[in-house]
Amino acid sequence: MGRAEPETTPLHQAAVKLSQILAHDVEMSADGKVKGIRQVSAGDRSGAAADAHAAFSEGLERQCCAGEMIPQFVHQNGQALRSPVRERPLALALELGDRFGDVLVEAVVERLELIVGNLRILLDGQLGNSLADYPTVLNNLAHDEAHPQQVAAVKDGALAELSWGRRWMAEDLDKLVQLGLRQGPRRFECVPSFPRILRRKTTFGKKERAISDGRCSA
Amino acid sequence: MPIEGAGQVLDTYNLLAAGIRRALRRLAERTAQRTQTVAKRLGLLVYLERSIKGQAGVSVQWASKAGRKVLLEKLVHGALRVQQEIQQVLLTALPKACEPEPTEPDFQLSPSGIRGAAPPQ
Repeated sequence: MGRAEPETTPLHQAAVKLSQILAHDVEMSADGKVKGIRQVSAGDRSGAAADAHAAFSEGLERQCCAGEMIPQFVHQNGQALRSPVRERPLALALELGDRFGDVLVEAVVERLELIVGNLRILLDGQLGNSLADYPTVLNNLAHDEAHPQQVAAVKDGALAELSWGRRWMAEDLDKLVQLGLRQGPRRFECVPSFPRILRRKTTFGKKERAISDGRCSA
Repeated sequence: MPIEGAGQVLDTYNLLAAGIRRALRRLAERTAQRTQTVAKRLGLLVYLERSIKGQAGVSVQWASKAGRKVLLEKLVHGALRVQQEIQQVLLTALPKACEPEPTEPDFQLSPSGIRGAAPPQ
């Protein structure tokens, strides 16, 4: 008579998973004492996630009715991740890709700030408990470098600058005209940051010389 | 194939706590009891909190290695306790007619600790 099939009830699976976590992560001595945490890569962990079949609402841990931000996998370009299917169960365990160019980036968090309202709850616990060293996995990172930051032009700000610049330019030209009529033909100093003014000054200089020579009236 | 969705990184402390919490839930389902009842009976009520490391969980001296080890020992003790309970439930729930010979479960407690999945190489 052969051996019976191993039981695969959820209770048995939970016990097996717990055994796997203990065997993988906890280093124990021969006499059963806990020595510490085994320093191995999370990608070597066998088996499924501890709570892989959690519902979506269960996967997103909540506190004070605010969704908690969690470390996410990001692609080559930073993008907001959203499940294409609503209420789709998401695995909670770390999944490491096995592709060329996969890089594990560990960055030190500096100038940590906590925002009121639990909008940024990356720290689950207390400050100083070394919980801020979350690794961020960037898959398919080209040349192991992040893309440079691209700052888009602000339309409203640009229009305001342009309006201010035109007003300044008009006022400055009026002064130049008055100064030129008073001091006669001369070459005005240019303003480096406004080449358009320089061109208009040059035109004004020709006209001014014409005025001073009597070939043209002001 | 690109990975879609989000993954959560759990350290060993939270991973063990989540495993215990999940085992307690499955144990409660199996015994038709409330999870709080089962956890209270086993003295593992703290694992039903949201986090084992917050103010709702266990106070831990994170600055010292010994303080962190205390939490780890507590987690391992809780995991062994819930495994022991699961083992008892599984053994008592086996019907007599379906028990031709004792089967060795995938997980087993030993005096030296845990015997189950092979440790990583």
